[in-house]
Amino acid sequence: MPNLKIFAAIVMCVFVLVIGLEWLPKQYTSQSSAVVMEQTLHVSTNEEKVIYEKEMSRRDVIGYSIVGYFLLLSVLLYIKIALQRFTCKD
Amino acid sequence: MMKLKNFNILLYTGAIMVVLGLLMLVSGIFLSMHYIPDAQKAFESVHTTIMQEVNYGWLWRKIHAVGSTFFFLLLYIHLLGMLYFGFYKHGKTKYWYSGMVLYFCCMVIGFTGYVLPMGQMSYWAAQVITSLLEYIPGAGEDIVLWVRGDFSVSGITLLRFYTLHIVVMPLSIVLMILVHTDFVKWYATTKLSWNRKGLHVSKEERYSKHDIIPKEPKPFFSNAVLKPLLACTLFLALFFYCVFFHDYLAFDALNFTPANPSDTPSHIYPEWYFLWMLQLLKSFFFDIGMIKGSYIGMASLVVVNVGLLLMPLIDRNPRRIPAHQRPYFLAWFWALVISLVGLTILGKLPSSTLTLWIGLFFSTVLMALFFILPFLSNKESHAKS
Amino acid sequence: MVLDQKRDIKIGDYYYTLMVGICTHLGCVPKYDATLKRFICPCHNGQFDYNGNALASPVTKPLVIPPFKVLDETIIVGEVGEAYLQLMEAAKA
Repeated sequence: MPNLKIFAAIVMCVFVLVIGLEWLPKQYTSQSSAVVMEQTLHVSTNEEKVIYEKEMSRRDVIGYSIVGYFLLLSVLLYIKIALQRFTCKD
Repeated sequence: MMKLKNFNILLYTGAIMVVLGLLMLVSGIFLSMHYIPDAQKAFESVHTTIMQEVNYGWLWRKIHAVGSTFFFLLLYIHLLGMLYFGFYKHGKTKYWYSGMVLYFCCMVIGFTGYVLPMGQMSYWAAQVITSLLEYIPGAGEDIVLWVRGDFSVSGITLLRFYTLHIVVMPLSIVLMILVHTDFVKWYATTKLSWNRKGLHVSKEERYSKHDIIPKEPKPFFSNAVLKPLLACTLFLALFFYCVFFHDYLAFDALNFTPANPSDTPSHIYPEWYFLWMLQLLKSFFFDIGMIKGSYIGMASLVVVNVGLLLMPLIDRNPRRIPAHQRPYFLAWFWALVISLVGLTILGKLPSSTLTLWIGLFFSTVLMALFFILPFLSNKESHAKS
Repeated sequence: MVLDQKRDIKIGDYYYTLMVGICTHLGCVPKYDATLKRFICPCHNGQFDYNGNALASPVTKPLVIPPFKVLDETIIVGEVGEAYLQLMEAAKA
């Protein structure tokens, strides 16, 4: 069984699991929980909202940087493996 | 674009799990510096102290939670992959058995870890699962009391689960990984021993009277390092993407409510990697003669886990070939995967007549698979002998 | 309502049933449904009648009656009294 077929089978199973565990339960129950009610009882001021937004965008920036770092590392490793194979063949 | 040779995810699940395991260890260390294992203070220590007050506490907690989800995903991919390719047969049985011990250790560490935040789900999952032990014939009630340390899940139970989670299980897992990856044998294979010819030579060569001509050694670096490393970096990119932007995959809404021992939530379920076991327990909703349905459910859980453990003995076909070269086993394998996925999804849905009957179907199939495999594989080995 | 000799006690003009609200299957807390007059466990749908007798699988044992003592019109939970002993004997019979 070629590598791509195996990878596709795994991705398919994971996709079915994610749909079944995230989307499907939502069709059965309405997501009204005590947690949501608690949040509406406390009304945040404009200042708190601004600080919250700033913190969330800061976290997003950290997230993009880390993901980008690992993707860049992957590209460099791929190039290294390709070059190594290219030089070995000579 | 050059195609990488043999870049198959199944070859690298082990290496990725080791990297993820190290991440879990480090994030766990930072969490344990602020977590308080007390029934009254645990919830606050996690949701206020760690998530809001400690610098980057939110990051360590998210890494730890999402990490456990990904760890079990890789574990299942690894287990099913090894099953597919027959890597539990002669010559590889010790890897299978040590791997199954690792699987059970990971289940314990996953279960004990989920109890620690002391949310509603944490508390009631612990209550239900420890109550199951009561059904062990003979000393069931004493065992439950011994495990909990109290008549119901309480601060005493939390403390011992904490000890299991941060000391006993990590040590056991590290030791078992050393056994599972043959690390304990690596030392011997690099030194010449057994007639000074080394363990890495074949049996015939080892016992031959002549000197063996040393083969051209392959470099360890690049062959055994770069490709797994590439797999790890790709995985870490996906992992951190989920940590920062899709962390809801690892957190359940009900666990954001502090544990209330007198209020059972209407729908309790464990983390997704235990859902198929929960559904297996719930599936037999009627009694068969004198045997109660709940006992059949528990027996089926034991059958499936013991069946998986004893795969080398149940599969009677001695040839270690992939499933796509064994039509009967291929059907068996996909029946197993579909049953596991089906039961996992059903485990999270609220009980209804439809889910009960579908669950019963998948549970029966899953249990029956381990009873029919000896006959199925026997039929194969005659055809292929 | 039918009086259950093995489960109910009479104090004054009223009948009471004293039970520990922990499901005998796996330890969850059953909730009382006033329309059905049953205790229904949210974990696995185990059902008890209003006297705590087990009705449907997976529950088989009734809700536990704790030791209690009746002093005039007061129920003291935790001490063994005559009413409790009578209920236990009736249950054994």
